[in-house]
Amino acid sequence: MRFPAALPTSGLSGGLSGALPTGVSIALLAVLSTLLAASPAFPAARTPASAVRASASGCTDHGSVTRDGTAAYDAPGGDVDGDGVNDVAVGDPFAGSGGQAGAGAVHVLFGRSGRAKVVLPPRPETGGGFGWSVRLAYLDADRCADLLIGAPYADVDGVRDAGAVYVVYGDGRGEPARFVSPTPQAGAHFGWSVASAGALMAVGAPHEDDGGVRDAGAVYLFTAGAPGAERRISQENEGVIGNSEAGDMFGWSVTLGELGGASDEPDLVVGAPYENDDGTGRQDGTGTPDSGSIAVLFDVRGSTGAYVSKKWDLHDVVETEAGDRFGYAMAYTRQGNTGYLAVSAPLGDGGRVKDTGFVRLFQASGAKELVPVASFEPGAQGVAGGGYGFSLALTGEGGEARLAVGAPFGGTNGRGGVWLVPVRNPAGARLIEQGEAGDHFGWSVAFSGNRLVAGLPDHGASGAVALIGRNDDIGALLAPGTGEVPAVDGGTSADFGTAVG
Amino acid sequence: MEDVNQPDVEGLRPGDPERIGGYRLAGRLGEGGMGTVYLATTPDGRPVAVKVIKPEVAVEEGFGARFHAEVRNARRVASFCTAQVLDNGNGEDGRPYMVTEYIAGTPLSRQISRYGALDPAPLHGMALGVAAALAAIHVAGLVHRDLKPANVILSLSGPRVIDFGIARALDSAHGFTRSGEILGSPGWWAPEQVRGLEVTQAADIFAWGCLIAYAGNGRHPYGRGDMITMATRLLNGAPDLGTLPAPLDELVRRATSMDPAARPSAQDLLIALVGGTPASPATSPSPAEPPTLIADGVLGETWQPPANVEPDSTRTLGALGLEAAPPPPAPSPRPAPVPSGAAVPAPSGTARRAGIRRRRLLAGLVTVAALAVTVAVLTRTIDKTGQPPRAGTTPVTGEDVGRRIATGSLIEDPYLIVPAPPRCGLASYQGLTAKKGTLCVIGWTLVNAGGKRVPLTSTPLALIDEHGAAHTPERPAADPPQALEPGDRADGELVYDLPSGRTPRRLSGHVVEGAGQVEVRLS
Repeated sequence: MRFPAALPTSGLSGGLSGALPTGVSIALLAVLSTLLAASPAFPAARTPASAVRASASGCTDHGSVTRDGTAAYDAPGGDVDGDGVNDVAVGDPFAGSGGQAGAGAVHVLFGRSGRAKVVLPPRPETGGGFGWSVRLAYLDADRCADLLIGAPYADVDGVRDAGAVYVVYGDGRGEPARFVSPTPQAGAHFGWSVASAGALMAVGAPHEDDGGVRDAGAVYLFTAGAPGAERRISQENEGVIGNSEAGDMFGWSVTLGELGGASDEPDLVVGAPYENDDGTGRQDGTGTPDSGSIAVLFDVRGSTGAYVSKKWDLHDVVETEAGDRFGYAMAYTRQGNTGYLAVSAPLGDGGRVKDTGFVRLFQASGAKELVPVASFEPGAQGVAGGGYGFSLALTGEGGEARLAVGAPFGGTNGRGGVWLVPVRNPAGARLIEQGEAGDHFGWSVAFSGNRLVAGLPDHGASGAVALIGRNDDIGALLAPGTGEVPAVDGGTSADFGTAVG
Repeated sequence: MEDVNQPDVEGLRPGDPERIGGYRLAGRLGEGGMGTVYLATTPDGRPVAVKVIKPEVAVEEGFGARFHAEVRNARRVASFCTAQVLDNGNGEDGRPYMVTEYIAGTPLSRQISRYGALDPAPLHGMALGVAAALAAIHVAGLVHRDLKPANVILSLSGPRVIDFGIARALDSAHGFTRSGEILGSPGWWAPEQVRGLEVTQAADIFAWGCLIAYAGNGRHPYGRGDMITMATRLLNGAPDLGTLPAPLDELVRRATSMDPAARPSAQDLLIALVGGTPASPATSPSPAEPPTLIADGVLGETWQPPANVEPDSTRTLGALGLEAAPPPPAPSPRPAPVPSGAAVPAPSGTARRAGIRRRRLLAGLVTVAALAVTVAVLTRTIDKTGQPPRAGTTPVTGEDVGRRIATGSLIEDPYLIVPAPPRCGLASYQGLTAKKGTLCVIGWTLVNAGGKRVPLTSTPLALIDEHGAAHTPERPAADPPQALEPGDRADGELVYDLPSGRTPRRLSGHVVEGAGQVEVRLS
């Protein structure tokens, strides 16, 4: 993906700008209006200030959010337009947009008005995969959530499929920023996974070679508004337990949360689901292949030099099986003084039934380090290959921590399913099923306020998402080009709902 | 658009043009996200409504062409119980406009909010009139898509349905701020619209049911709420239909069925409302003539406008120095234009098999001349079953377009996506020229989201047409990769030279070396 010279390309080497510019040039306005335009053909009437926001007020009130955004909102997700009701971002990385096949597109669904808006890549690129990962994050000091959008198949400076991440500010003031690796690598897929805690962003590049080790994977940390604070982390960094081995895919999943160490300092969790369980030291090609692991790096923001980390291989959690893919998906939430981390193994052997999948729950209370506390599995309704744990979401909304587990290949007729699990009362878990055979309901899940959002990317030609009320058994299906969800201008929706955030 | 054609006409505002096309503007009838509706007069002094599209909508690429195409369709709709579309064009500034009859009257929305539920007699008349309007719209192959109380005007001459026919043009305009108007209104959606399924004429029938329940009870059958609330109720609960007089209670219950196929057609409703038995859900296999004549005759005896309607509209027109609209022209026995390809129905043996009871009921209401045509139309409707008409509905895409096609496990193995329907009928494409007929281009994406390197076959997918014949693609400009590394993807296009008249049905073949066959249903 090539950029006009006027757009600041934020990278490690190029001087990261990332944050709140004071001046906005005409060229930037043009780029921004294209990026945010529901209709790129629109002339000057469209201004950045009205771009993502649905209402004319709300973003400037700083509320209770601190500069680094750590004192976030109780309700999960984010409120892009600042109207007090959380919104949802939905990614379709295979959508055609701007006349380019597979350039990708993201919709923002506004929770209060029920309207929606399309966010397109600034320069739609064939096969760029914009929207592969999406996240709502509070990156700047205003009260409007910002969009973190991964495009892992974007070309960077002519390097094929190196990958990029875009930040689109919720208030439409700051210009969108592009984040890339300072040394773009072909097929690294930077932006495969994204996470944030306040202004701190983590970006996974699981297919990046590390020191010549193929697909060992890496994670990048950026801080919005703090150029120069960016870092690359692989399993070879001092203090990161483990080694870069071929095909580990460290960075397949990332999350940030408070899981021990100093309070109010985010800890980074990195999933490496294709890591072989092979004991200490570098042992390529031996051990139990693809059982997977996670690494937790404590107080990652302040760590200079050596990291303090803890690693869980699958055998630390349960009996290890080859190909379980522990660390495939992760979710974090905080409820009161307790941080919860859920980690899945979608091909794990839940309930000793092969390949039905399971989820491990970790808990960190106060400043204590996290410990595994529970396992969840689909039980009698699980099927081998059902993908229990393919996607995960956690919420503390409503005073009760709840876990959503996507099983997009299970359910009646293989239409998929989402399990809702009260973490303190797993017996109260229930299975939600929706859609038709092959819809892959539960491919993605997220909480937004008191609603659960689940993707059905293969529902019909365009894909869909279901918005499911807290106590509902079935959700309202939304798809591009129907109801108040606009279609993608100059393009075609293909897999709307592949990512939700 | 809320309260379009409301009697309280505002004066023109600074900046409003004096004329649009050949129409002199006299006042404003309403304004919505899409445009402004003016009361205007024709050169010969007749009042009309002129809807002018806002500049920011009009500027969208291709909007003008879509708009005019839809209006041309709408002009085919018989004038009965609708505000007839009279003209369309582009103003001096290039903004498209459409001209319809001006219906002096009260929008149903305002009638209910100000005066409460309709009494049984006007309720029945309104139900019949709106059903007749839908029959006329549907028979022209259109779907209203935005039937709601603000789009039903209670006039002296009967209820009239406005704002039809252009919903599809607006649907394709993806303007964000305007979406509330473009894409229907919360509470007046059918379940399939919310689910993102195909929208057919049955969606209008669902809205008809909600509309009658609303008018008969003075409250919406799904209550009030924001879009999500309404959508959730719509999908999860039965509507509160309240108390409605027979036969409306049963008709509304069936019209609001969750299953589109279980709903009656507009013509079923018409028959039931003039005294016949509600027919089983069945629709005409092909567009036929509008059932204008019968409904006109019946309605003339049925319609009792609510007491408040007359003074309002008269006063309005007087205040603007206009005369009341002349009464609608007497129904002409001349059949409305029939969409091409549809046979003109004629009284036949089939017609004679029409129910004796129905014939008796109708005979007292309409002229003999009208009856001959009408019975033919209705008989075609109720004696045949078949697929619902496709005209006017969204195009059907193949079942597998836009869906992941697994080559094995979706966690472990690559998946194939054909993100958009095939583009066919091309004479040439990127240097290739059709030799056998025309070219079909099919884009594809293959993603290896698993953990291992996957070898790909070198034999491209074959395209199977409707006769089962297999076609191999032209040689691509760049050879696809021989293998996909973990996380990698490949994108490309397959170009097939199809003999003329052939339709692509599916792609078939092997993608991954050593894996099973994949099938992609395209239509």
